[in-house]
Amino acid sequence: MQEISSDVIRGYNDTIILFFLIKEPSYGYEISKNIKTLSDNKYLIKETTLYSAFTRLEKNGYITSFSQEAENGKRRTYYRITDSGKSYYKEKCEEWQLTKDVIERFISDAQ
Amino acid sequence: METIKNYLETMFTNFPDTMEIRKAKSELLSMSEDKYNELISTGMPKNEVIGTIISELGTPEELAESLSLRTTKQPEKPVGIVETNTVYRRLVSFDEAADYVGDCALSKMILALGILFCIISPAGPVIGESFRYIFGNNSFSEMLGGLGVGFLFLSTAIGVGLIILSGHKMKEWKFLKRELCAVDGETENFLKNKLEQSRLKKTFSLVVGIGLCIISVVPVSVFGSMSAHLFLTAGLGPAMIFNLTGLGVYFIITAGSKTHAYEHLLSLNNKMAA
Repeated sequence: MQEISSDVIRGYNDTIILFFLIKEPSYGYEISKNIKTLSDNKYLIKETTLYSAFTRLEKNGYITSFSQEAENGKRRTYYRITDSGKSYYKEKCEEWQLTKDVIERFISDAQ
Repeated sequence: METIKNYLETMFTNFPDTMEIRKAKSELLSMSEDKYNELISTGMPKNEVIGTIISELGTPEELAESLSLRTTKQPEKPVGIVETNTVYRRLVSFDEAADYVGDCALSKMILALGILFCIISPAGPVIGESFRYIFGNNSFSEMLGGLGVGFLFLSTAIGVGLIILSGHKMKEWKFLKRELCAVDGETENFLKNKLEQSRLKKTFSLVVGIGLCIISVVPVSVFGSMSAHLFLTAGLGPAMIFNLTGLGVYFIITAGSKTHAYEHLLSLNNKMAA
């Protein structure tokens, strides 16, 4: 099976994470599981990639983190999107529309 | 779960033990734990679970990038074998660099104070004995003489204590010599700046120190040439030799302490693996 190229998707890891955080605050494993499910197992985000993205997003002020206890008593770091994170997400969506529009013009079935 | 914990530990062995790294480690462990519990509950064999988690964890290089840690490549071997291994250097953070310089200065200051106390100790009996030129040979003068001798012992004891203590502060920085370390660009610029400033202070301190040593004999010769009171010529004057020399030596020892620390930190990036 053709694997997804991590080089291409790298620029959109932040967008993917923010997509989930716009709905509700979440934590690392839940987000990675949701990514896997929503992509039909086509994209598995590595834990280090995910954590790197969290730290980068937090440094840029797009998300904030807080600690919360789960039902089973385990403490987890949750992440919440900020207002500037929401507008960043919107920008990235527009950017992707443009990218997709341009690249698609160069994709052809004819070999 | 132990296996994964150990794997994470090894993954981070080449990273400095900072708050940022500890947080990263515990977050990755927490994510792996969640994954472990979920995969186990699906009935997957334990070994397979561990294999899956480790293979999907990613590489430390990725973390290094986002945590702004610096890794430096080893120089290529001349025989045509390209060394692809990346050598991790322990990153000395900006705060650590500042702490190191502070500790170097403090340690040198304690050492210099120790030596100062040792040098000035004979001034005690010299002055103490000369009080009899003022008060005559009575029990009061004898008491002052005794105090002078007491000062000799006390000052020496304090001095030796401080000299021993001075080495203690530097123990936690031994890793700078043992391991390959690095400072980031921002810290490097800061250090270069500070190094320039410290050079001026070093020169000034040296001049003052040497000057004090030279003029230490001035009081005794001035008092002598004026044929002043015996207390001055035989007591205060000679005592001033010890005091001024001690002070001079203090300035000389502390002069280059910061300069040396900055130079040491700046040399870290150029150090190669043995």
